[in-house]
Amino acid sequence: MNEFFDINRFFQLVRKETSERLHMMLKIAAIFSALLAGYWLSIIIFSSGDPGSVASSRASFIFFAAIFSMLIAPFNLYKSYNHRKGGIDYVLLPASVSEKYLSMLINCVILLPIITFVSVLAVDTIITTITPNIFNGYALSSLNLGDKFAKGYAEAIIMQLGFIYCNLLFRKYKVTKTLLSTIGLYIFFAMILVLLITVVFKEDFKLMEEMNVNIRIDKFSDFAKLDQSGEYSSLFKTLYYSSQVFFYGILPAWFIFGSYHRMKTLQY
Amino acid sequence: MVTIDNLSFNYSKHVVFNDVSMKLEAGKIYGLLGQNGVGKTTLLKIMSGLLKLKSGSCKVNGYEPFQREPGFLGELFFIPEDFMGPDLVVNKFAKLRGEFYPNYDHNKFSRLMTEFEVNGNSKFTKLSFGQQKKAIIAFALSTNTKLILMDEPSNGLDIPSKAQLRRVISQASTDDSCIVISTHQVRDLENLIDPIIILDKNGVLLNASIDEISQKLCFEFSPTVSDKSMYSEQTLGGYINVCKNESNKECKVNIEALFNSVHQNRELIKDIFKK
Repeated sequence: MNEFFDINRFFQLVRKETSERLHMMLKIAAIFSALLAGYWLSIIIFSSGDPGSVASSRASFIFFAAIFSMLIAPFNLYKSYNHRKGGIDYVLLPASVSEKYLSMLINCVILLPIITFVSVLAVDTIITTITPNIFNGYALSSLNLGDKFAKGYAEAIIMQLGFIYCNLLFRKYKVTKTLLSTIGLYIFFAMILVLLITVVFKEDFKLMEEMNVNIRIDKFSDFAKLDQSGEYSSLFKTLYYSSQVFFYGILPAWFIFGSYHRMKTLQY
Repeated sequence: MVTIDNLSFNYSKHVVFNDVSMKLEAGKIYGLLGQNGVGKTTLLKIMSGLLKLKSGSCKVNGYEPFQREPGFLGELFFIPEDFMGPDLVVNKFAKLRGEFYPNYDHNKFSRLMTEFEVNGNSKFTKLSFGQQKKAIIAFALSTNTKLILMDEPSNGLDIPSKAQLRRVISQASTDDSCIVISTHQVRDLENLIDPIIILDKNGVLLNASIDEISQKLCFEFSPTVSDKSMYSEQTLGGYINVCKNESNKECKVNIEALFNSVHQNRELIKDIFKK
């Protein structure tokens, strides 16, 4: 018997996990679908005569629902994994930790977001068909599944890996502790950035001021804009690439191996 | 089946086991007895890989339990004292999980569920605590694993269920399997558990078969306290006296009296059972 990974056992596990957790996944999907239906109802009740909801904003909501359901998945689907009593049943199931972790990822990163996405989209399509004057245009036609979506999804997956790690790390008050840790990490990195900008790369930023360059940084991937100009010092570029390696390489790897190690060494 | 050598375990400053060694063999149903807090559940958890030992070694079927490898987990089933089933139909639970145990027998599961009078088409959450416990015991026995660890299996069971439990466990026991039952309710499992392991703070006080116990100790009922008794306990109409068996006449073991006499005469018992 392969103790690390066995493909047949893995698929057995995915089937078991999915059928056991499908009920919860459908519940989450139903909540987001109900939110959209509630929005539709609120337009009917409160906004008589208004032009209605545009498809692009509903498409954004569908993306938000899918990503948000993905982020909360570990706390809903696997909340009892490290519970001293509730987790025993799962940890003693004859499957390896790698199989359990991968199956967890499949449920949290792929299945739940897809179920939520399809269910909210289906509700939107039905409502748009029934009341085209309230929901103007199908959200389906405004969905942009291009490069921007892929990048956003990739960043959400990195965050998700962190949330899975936190879900395994904290036994109590998981969501609160995860949010506090995320805020803590954010502040920590922001402080480092401020330090770099005000002290280490002071000269580079002075140069930027003189050049009257305006670069808006909303999210991490926007740092790539800094690389487009050749005037900045190589040190500055090194910082950019180092941070890329850290956020897209080291951080996810840390979350994955941290989760694996935690699952392997958890005591009950 | 299970070999424990020089095992030490502690919860921060609270030492549970210090240099404990024992061997558990296949084909037997061990009764694990001890006062509250001596480490019965901890020992079961160490054997099932839920806790990591601090020093020494524990091998189950040649595996190190804490590695929790699938090959090891496929031959072990642990029933915790307060099992709470998932929000799932019992039969579905059994079918989905049964696939992971190489020797799982679903017909046996259905038969045991019928014997326990539990409806397999109900969700765990709709069953009472006792019914949930019977369902998980039925599932555990149907996995046909080599090692089954039960923590207080008779807790929460009604009187007829306790008799069913005894019958079912004795039927499920095979020459290849080892069942370890931790319990306070010795009367519930009398005539079932053999050998008996009595744990004390920091170690094993007694690990002997019923035959061995009855050869070395005598449990007599008499109207008065015997001069030779190492322990006596008043009951209706007289006393149960536990004394050294000097006549080599075998007598029925009273597990409760044995437990109490072992606790009152630790050194003497160790001396008597020294091999």
